[in-house]
Amino acid sequence: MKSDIDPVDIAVISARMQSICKEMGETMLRTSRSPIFSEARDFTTAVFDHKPELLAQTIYIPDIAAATPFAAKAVAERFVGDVHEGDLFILNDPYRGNNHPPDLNVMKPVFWDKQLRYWLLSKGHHADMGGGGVVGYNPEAHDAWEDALRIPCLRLADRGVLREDVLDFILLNIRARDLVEGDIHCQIGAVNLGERRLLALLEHYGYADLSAATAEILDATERRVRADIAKIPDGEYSAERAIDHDGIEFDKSPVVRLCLKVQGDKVIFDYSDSDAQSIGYINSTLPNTSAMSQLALFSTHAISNDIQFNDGAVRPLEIIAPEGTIVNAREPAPTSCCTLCIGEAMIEAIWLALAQVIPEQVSAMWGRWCAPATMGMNPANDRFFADIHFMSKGGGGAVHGYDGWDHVGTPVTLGGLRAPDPELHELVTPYSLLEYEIETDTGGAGEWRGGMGVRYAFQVEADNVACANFGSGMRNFTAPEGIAGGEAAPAHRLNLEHADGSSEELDGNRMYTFNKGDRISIVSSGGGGYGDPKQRSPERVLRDVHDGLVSVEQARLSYAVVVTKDDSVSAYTIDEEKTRGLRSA
Amino acid sequence: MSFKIGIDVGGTFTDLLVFDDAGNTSICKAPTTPADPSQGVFAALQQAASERNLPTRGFLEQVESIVHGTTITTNAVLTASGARTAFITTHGFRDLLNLRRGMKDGERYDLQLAPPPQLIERSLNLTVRERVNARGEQTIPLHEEDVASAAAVMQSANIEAIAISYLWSFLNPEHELRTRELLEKEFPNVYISLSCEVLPQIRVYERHSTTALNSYCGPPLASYLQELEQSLQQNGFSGTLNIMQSNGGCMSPKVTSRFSVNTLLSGPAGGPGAGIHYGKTHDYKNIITVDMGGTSFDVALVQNETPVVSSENEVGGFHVAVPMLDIHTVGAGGGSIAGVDSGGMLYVGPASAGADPGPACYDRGGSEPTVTDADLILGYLDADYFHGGAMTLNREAASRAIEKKVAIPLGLSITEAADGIYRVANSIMSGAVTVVTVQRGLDPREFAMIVAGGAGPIHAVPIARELGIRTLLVPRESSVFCAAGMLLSDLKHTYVRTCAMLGSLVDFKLIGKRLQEMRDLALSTFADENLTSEDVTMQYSADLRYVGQFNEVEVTGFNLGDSNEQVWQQLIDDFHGLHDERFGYALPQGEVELINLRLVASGKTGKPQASRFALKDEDAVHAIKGRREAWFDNSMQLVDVYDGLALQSGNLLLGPAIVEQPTTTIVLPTATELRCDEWGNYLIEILRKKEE
Repeated sequence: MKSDIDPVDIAVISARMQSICKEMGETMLRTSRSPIFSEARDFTTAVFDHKPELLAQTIYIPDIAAATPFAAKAVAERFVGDVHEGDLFILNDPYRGNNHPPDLNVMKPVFWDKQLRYWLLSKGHHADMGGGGVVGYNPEAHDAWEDALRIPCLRLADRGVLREDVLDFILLNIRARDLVEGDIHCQIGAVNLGERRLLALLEHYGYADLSAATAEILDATERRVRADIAKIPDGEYSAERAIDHDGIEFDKSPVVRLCLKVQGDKVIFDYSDSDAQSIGYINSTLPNTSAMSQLALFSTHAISNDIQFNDGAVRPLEIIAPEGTIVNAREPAPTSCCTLCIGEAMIEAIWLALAQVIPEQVSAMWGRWCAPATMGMNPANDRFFADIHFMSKGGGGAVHGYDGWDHVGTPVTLGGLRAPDPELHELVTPYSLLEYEIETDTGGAGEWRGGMGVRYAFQVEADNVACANFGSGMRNFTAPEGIAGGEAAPAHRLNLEHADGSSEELDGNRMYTFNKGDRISIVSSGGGGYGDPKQRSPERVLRDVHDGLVSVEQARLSYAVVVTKDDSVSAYTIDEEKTRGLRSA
Repeated sequence: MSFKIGIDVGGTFTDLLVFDDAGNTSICKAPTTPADPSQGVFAALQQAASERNLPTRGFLEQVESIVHGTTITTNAVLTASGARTAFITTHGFRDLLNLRRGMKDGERYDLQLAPPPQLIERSLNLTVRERVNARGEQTIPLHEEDVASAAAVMQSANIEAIAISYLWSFLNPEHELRTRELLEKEFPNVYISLSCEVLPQIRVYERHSTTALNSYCGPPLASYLQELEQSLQQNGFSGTLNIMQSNGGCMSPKVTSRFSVNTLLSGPAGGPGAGIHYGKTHDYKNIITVDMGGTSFDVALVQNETPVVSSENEVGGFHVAVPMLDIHTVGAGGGSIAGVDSGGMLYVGPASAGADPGPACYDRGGSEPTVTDADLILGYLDADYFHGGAMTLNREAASRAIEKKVAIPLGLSITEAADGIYRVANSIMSGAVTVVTVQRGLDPREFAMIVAGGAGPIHAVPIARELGIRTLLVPRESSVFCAAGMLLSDLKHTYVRTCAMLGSLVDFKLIGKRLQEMRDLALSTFADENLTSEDVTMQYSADLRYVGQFNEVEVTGFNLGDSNEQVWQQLIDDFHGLHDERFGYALPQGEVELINLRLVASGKTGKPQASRFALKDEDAVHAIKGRREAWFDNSMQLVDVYDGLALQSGNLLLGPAIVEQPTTTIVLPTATELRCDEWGNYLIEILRKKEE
């Protein structure tokens, strides 16, 4: 049915839905007590209709955003017929609609004319979610109970009255009680604010026009996505990517296998051949697998980059992920690391599959995630702290036409993860930063070079700090690959040096305890390169050497450019003759 | 007679607005001279002088004050032509400036996005061993030999400016101060800025970026201002010269030269102030100001008579954390070049023919068709009355350019092609208005549009119509709108001091000391600007948050000497209220902490008074100066052309029609009416068309 609603109204409503989400997001960003929300922006906010279909959402961090429709459906189904004005609901269980346990969903129904019309959702990665984990990650978990506290769809407020008993129960099971309590209030604030704005919008347009407009917006988005997909050549494209290990079985590297099928205006992500589920916490849930598939496809140049992320956008996609595999684990497997390890492997498989047919529209692989989550008491202010060391983010992959972006990893965030301010970090956590700068030779060589990784080091100023070092990408076969002839970037290197001078390499997906005087240093992978490095002009290679991004050795080995340092003028120059020789060889 | 002058150097024209002490205004325009903008300024001043039959010197001797908006720094950033700058920071933290917190700004879902340009290349990001901790204590002394090594690199790189920004320097500025001391000797003519002076505030990347921009823009701005001041003085000027700042206030050239980063929006910053001024005459509290110049279209929003100010700004993709008016700019103006792309799509801009060679019809060698050429072909502009006849436009040249580059490729007539250019330009501009309204969830229909720029009123009605806006106000000084806003601005200085303490342990003495410090700084700056304390108002504010939060809410409403418990309690109560209003919740039992103290110090300047006229009757026939063919309702029609200068307050006319003043043309389509109000400004109402 074609609605009579004026196109200007549709545009205004569409943008207003987005701005309501943004305003809710501002609440999360501006009022949170956990740096994971307020600095790194690891949260999302969304508006659903009563069905509930996703109408609009913020995409600060793409991976957690794309999973919200599952949570909304779970809550709406669980409480069908029993939802009242002023209610609030809460959920974190990965087998009941969530993607992974540290992300807590808070939902509020919005009523108009005494009818349930909309749902508002705020979701974020909390500083702690109980269980055996650190900041929500437990590499030693064998099951969902060790992983985290499990919160099914629960009523958090009943007709406007907060259920203190429910909140007490949750907070009693959480170490970082103050941080989590503050941030649950911040999520409640976000949905409250969203409700005020949505009611004002209903006041202005009435429900009939508003719902006609949102239906049209969803259909329009679907049409655009289908038109874009239709331009990708039909076919089946397969790729597989592994991760280091699952934290329990150290000699086994779980593999994601994808057959990506483009059929006209439809894309099927078939993960049927992936490994069976793992013992450890890297297992993916269906919401997470869907989220990763969507973000990997939508980030490519094949899909218009200004489409809106609503239910219309995902209608042309189909996910095949058999239960019991690493991409759709059976309850009660642990899942807390699925948004990183397996998520990255899925994104890489999708990009590598598409690189077989549209290499100029995808990216070389990005630096994966591997860094410590830590928590404990900060003796400087006698307060509990919990933080993730986002400052070690790796580089972005190169694309056709451009070098990769520096320090924007991991691919699951597509550059939306903001590195915390070093000063605020030192103010809140018991760490002194020692180094935080670009590391030479971390970008994969190519005609277009991968973005740079960093060297990040800090000294611990407290005892008994719990650390979950989580992530992957420390093996040669899990380092960021290049495409179209570009080289891979080197794997991450992590090191722990104790106050007594002894030192050890840190592995991913393991627990450690940090003590006063310990020094942790991380060199993160850059991104993979795009195209043959010998096609990069010697002048650009020289410039990279001059800027300290590429060493004289890498210039020769990877790029076949011979650079010499002229000490008399302390400048680098190209040895034209030797370079010609090397390049023609 | 004495005069006050506002001067706005735009991308294409240098606008000048003169107020005399009887309240009369006059307008002059001269082409902007990008290589040395002061030439354009003097050309406009000469025009103003000769209109009064005075030599330039005789005129300047009677000028009491000049407020000047400049695009020197904006252009330096946008065209990457600032000073060759070195950045000095703490050893081990070399790349925080260029890493930009690892954020991929812009379209996150576009892998094919070019990485951002760097203001300062990595080889000129230099480090020095030194360190101050989170308590402001030195943990590594300043290694002066590292400063010497940095100096050697800078010498061989021929740098023109230095920015110094160390970790935690806002708590302990000793190392920055000493570094400057060491470098000043070796680089006596190099512009140096310190983060502890430019933005003494926590968050290192934002501080770095603001300080780096300050140095990058400093040398071109300082030399421009110095030359301008000298030439003005040599030509008899002995009044006050003030420079427009991005926050909507102004400052002396001396202070401005040190803090160049505050002028990144100097040009358009007069807009919102002018908007508020004109809006008041009709009691408009919510206003969209649009300013169409030769190269750009600026949109600003005023809500409840308050311009939107932000501390999270970007200019040319670089972050600026000093408070600036929130002004959105797109590359669409009279000089914007039109063409047809490889896909057969008509486009307009963002490339511009600028002032030189300018549009094809300027006949200065420009062969690309521009929006101005289209306006001429459509009959909206009169070839013989451009700038009041000061310049004759070549219709033939405009026609040729449009024919060759647009009409033939698209298979259209020249007039149809011109109409296409006109409509595409309008949709780009209405899109810009959408960005600041609709995309922020604001309904443009709830705003009045105030139209500025010589070409603005030619395009404003279709833009407004597309957005559903029904009321437009075109000030008589529309073509020099920002210059008017500049004359209406106050001197303004903003200060911030980080002063972190728990609500339960407030040290009123320390708060008092910090407030006093800022107040003293403001007063001594005002003294430099020859302002006495009775003309000064101080607005203090405090950034508060719940303990453990990472962001603050700014709470105002106290004064120096008020640091007692009652006032503090009031601030806390206000904080809870504001927190609930903005974020949907408050925690009345939660402990509150203070982070920053702020001061906005304003100094009153002598402002011109506008004249108000008695309303005459509605009949406007007396002002008709002729008829000409122009494009309305998809055909060329013969319509009345009114002389704007002859229109009197109270006169009413209906579209289709054209109203002309020497530097402004108003195009009034069918189903609109224009009324000349009692201030001599034009109020346009878009009437509902029959089908609506």
